[in-house]
Amino acid sequence: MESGRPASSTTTVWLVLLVASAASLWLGSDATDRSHTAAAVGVLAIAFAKIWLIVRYFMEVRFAPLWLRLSLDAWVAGVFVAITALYLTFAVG
Amino acid sequence: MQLAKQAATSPGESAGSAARVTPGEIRVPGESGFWILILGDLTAFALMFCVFIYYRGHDVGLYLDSQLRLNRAFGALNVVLLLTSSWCVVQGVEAFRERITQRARRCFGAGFLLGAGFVVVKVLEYGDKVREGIAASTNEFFMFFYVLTGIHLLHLVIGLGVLAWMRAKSRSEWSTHRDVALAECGGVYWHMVDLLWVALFALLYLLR
Repeated sequence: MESGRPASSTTTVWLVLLVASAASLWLGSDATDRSHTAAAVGVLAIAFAKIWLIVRYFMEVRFAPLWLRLSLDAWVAGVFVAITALYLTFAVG
Repeated sequence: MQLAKQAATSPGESAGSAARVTPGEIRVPGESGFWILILGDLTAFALMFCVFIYYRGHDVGLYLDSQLRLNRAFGALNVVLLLTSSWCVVQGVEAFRERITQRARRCFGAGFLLGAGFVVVKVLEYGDKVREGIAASTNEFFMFFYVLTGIHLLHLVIGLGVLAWMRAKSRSEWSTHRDVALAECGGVYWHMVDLLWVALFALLYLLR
């Protein structure tokens, strides 16, 4: 039962995810209305950083073969870029 | 990865042995074929996210006003519930691989209960909306809201079934490599449900 190291690394990631969630909630609140475009991009960046951590550490993709790591990295980066581009093109009011 | 310090697999050990993993070993978590399913599902959701943002751009005011009628506390609570549930499942899969059956069962059980908590919160949220007279037909934003969260909820309910199976399976001390691979697939699926909610929470509840 010496699974100390991996368990503690995923526990650290879990805590980081909770803190990041609190940060995105704060960023997305109306208190930061002064520059809501920057806040929105920040919200998206935090969300996809969290998703990347879940993929890497919870799904254990950090130990996966290159094809799988690249596929998921491409998904995370591609969706982040596509959504941010669409947001900046159409949704900035 | 991790675990199994002494990868001391005796010659006779194979079918009935736990799937020990040597540190730093490159391997596919679960089964390769299962990842095709996961990547397909992720791609389908990615397209739905893009369609949502595209339509949002054509009537930003309506989407912003409608978003204010959502209860962020419900969404945020569900983020915490699913992240914590996912973390429990990570610990459970670790324990399952190590054949620490009682710990695996406890972790999968906790993951299940937290996931069930998500369903309870979602039902409360839908109930609130219905009482306020808000349905999918109210406007375009709420159409997306119900469709996206509904499809996600369906995935989550399937995931709860998978977690219940994993908990039952972890009773046995004689898990085979295949059992471990299936448990890893179950874990990967559950984490996908988790990460999709992270994205949905940002898009539906937070993006201004």
